[in-house]
Amino acid sequence: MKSRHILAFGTALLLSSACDNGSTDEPSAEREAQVQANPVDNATSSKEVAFVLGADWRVSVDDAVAELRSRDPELAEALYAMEPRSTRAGTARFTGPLVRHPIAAAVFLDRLTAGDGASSEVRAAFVEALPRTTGPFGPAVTALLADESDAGVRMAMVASLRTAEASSALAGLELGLSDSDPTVRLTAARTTARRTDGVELESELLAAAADADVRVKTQAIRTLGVLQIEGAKSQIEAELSAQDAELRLSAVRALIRIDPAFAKSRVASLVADEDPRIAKAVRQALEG
Amino acid sequence: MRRAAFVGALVLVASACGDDTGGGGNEGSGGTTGADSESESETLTGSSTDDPSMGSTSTSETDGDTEGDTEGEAFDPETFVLEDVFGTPNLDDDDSNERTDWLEVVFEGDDDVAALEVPGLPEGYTVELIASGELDNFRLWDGDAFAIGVADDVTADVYSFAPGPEGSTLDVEFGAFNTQGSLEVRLLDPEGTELSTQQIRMMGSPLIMNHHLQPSEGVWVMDVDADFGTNAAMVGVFASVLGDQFDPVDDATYGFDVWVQDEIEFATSAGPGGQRLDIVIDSVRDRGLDDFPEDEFVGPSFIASRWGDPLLATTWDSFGNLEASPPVTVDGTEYPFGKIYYGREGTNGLQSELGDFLASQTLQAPFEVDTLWLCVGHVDEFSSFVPDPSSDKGFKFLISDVDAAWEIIDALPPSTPLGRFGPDHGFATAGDLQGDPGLRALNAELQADELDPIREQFIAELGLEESDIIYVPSLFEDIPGCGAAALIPGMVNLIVSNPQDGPIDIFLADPFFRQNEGDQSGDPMIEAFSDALPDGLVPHYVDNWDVYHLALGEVHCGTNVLRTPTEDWWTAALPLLENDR
Repeated sequence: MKSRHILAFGTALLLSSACDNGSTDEPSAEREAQVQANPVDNATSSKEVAFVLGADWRVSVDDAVAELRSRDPELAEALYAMEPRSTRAGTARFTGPLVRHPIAAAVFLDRLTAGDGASSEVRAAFVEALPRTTGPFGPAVTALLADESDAGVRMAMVASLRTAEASSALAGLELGLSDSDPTVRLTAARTTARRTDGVELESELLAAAADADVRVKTQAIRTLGVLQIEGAKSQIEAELSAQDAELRLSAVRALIRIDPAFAKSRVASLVADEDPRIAKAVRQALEG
Repeated sequence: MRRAAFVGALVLVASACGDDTGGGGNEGSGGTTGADSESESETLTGSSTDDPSMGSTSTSETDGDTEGDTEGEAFDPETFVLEDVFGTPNLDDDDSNERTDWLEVVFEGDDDVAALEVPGLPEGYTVELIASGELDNFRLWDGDAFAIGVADDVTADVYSFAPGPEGSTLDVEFGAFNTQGSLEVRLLDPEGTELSTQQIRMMGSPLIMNHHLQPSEGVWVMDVDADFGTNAAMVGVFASVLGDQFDPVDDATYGFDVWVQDEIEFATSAGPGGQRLDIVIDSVRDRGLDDFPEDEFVGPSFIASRWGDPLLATTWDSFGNLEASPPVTVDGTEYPFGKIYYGREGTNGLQSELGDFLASQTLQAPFEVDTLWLCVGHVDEFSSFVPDPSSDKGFKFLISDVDAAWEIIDALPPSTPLGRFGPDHGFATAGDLQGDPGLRALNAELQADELDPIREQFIAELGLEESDIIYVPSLFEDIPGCGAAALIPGMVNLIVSNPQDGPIDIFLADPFFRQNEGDQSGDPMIEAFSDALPDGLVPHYVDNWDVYHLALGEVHCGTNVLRTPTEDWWTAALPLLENDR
């Protein structure tokens, strides 16, 4: 069955050109036919195709996909044909009701690892969509993270772990915090701030707070503050005199979040900082 | 065709002006040259001014009446007064021959021609016009004869003629936006003695971007039905509310590019003779909707022009990142067409070619806003304006505010289910939001570092007061490697439909901050927004979740509105134009 959208990311111009030569009436007729055949309409019944990750995620994916192909080939075909669209920012993303289905997680993981030449951007889009499928994905992503060669895909993997179950998420974030690419380390630090159980990664975050990359360092300090990790105070305090304004700001805010009373005595000298954000944060801390 | 051949007419007049140069191709100003071209006119013999800000006062060099009226009455040179000429640039294609009218001889039906009315004079009296200013962008015709201007690489800046007892009307064309020039008008008696001289303005309309207080004439939305989502419900609301004023466009025709706000920005230029030229500022983003302005709008009295380089296009060159405020008064200066604002910080933002052009139009004094903190990076993600007929200013300024959102969220029982926020954002309940310290920190930082300074900037740039502001409950999330984007569907990203003498309808995203999708009355975000709206406005919360929200946009991003020009720039805004020169 032919899916309607189908506008592959990156092929928009091709399709647009083709449509320019056609009658404007044609899409309407096409639409009517395709709406009638829209696999979304059948999605409800196919929800019975369960997807549960077992000890071996790959086996679980293969089993689920095989079952889907058998029980609902139309949905399987639609999910395998689906292409990401272009967001307003121009990035690739999967949206729509087809995505919002647990079995889509199995298909996207299968497509992610298919080795079919999909671009890095499309592969990252598969990963980005995983949490929105409502299906399980954490153990698979964490397992794939170590062997993934593309930093953009690894970044998406680390970011996806915000909502993954705890054990695989923390394991994946730990990997991310020590990744070879600073953008991945930064994303891992940022994602860790979004999990209350991120405090379990205290030592990894403290290491990241000494990262050679100032952006990673800044983000790690921010995360230590958000998670109110007491043991980080002295390390953070040392960055109050950092030359980099973003790092200084991050340190000020982190100390205020962890221990407002302690922070007051340490940040007071920055009340006239040249960066107005820092001066304002200090002023508010002193007044509070 | 009404005129003699263009080149022939030009040679005739050029000879009369003592210049027998002719020929050459006419590569005059086209629709996209704007006001950036400089005059290349010759130095005027006898011209007394290069100052285009002169008034149209007459200076008589005689003390009394002069003999010679054809009816035997004394002729008073003081009565010979010409009016300033204002008009629209003749950049459209009224005869649909695929050639810009400015590049053609004026023809019957060309409705972008202004008139210089010359009163009657006794026989033997002549008038000498001496042009100065942007001579390559305005042109005068005396009947079939080319009189003043630049054509075929020849500049004619002086023209003498005898209007006769009946007077005469010279046609005036402008070739670019915000053209400013002048004519020195010398009245000569039959002996060639100068009786009076006066200066009149020759001004072509600036390009003026529309704002939300102007009456709407039409609304466009892409009609989407694809595997990535459908906006059928949203389109249905628009259709039922707006009727004939709504025009859905099949999205498949345009490569499933849903961002119709980003491809085009409407503007107008007008003249006192009822001339109106609508302009689509065509974005260099050139995605699926690239052909949309030509397909849908371009024709007589409607042009599309673009500024910038498509090869350098970024997300900031989309026109959700280019807006205009309603009319404001700032530190005593009136801006009757509002002020333009767009996202740019340092070298990142809307391309400077467009920014510089807009600044050159003067009336709407553009200012730049930092949008680099956003993933998409558009000003419409956090700001907008709605009419407020009951207020002195006539509008309210809307700005995203995270504290307003947290106030609502923190008041909810943690177990409150949030429907769509579960699968698509990872927040199944209000408690999930309340218990996310990273999200709270992110939004606190965005409020302090971005939204607060932006609000202060708008207050300063637009002369706002606290009572002019509506704080729109908003939360942002982080898009890894990209920046911030709306977590709660951005209600500030709205459109205003306000047809002349019609209702004021506001279309905005249904925030779906509830479990029961079918019951908007139970949505605390909707309740808060509706309560904050000025009286008389009717909000319509539409489902834009799959097609827009999850793709990092909202209702404004996916719509566009054509509006009626309401103010006469040649009266309301002349001081702004004159002060700029």
